[in-house]
Amino acid sequence: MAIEDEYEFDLDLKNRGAAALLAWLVPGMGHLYQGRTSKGIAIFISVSLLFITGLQMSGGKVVYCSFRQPDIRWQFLGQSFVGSAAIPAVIQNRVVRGQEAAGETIRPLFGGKFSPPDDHLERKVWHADYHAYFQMGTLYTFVAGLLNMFAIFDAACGPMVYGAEFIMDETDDTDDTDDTEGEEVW
Amino acid sequence: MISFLFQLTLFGAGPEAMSGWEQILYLVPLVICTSLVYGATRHEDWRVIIAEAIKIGRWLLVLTAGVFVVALIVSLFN
Repeated sequence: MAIEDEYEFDLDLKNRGAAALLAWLVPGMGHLYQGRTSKGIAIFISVSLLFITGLQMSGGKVVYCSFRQPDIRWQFLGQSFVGSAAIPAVIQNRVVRGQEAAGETIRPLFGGKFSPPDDHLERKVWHADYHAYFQMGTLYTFVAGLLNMFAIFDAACGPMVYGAEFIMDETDDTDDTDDTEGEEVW
Repeated sequence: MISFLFQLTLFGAGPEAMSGWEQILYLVPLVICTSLVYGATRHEDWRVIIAEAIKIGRWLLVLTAGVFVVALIVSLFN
């Protein structure tokens, strides 16, 4: 598949579904698969740095999956666009909720990383421990996820070029047909 | 693994080790990464990506500074 941009380059998106899946799993990996190496590396470094900075400032507590009252973690919807973090978070959620339902002692995997809080009190402790950094960490990881959403779209469909203006071919003024094709000016 | 990755970041020491105005350094990765990825997902040529990233980064800084000033003014009356 070839897409022409303002610089008249040919872009081979290869298998777009596979590229999107790889981009979701690891930021930038879809671009590397397509041979867009520099862009893939830039996206990997940028999204990972932002995500890790968010995790770091909040002690790694802010990325977890919980959609049960009173802890509806809607921010996870944004964070989930980074698949390598979303998958362990969903697994942790299933493991912990399963243990709760069975009345077992809660033993999350991965040393408790990406695990939801045991109860409302533990969540309050997290907020008390990290204060504003809990919210900031949530914001940083959320933004990283949203940026990776753009990157996934870019891997699947090519760059989202905007600001296009179309100049109608003025020589066709006398023509009654509605010819919308013209020269593109960026 | 996560701890190891933390050590690779610029702020491996943690926010509690940063005080006062040093904490504003957290703005740097946010602005750079956001503007770079935003530009990279809209263009393919690096010259245009960098130009777009600078434009978006400048806009983000102005917006953040504006919100900071508004929050500062509001805090003066509370």
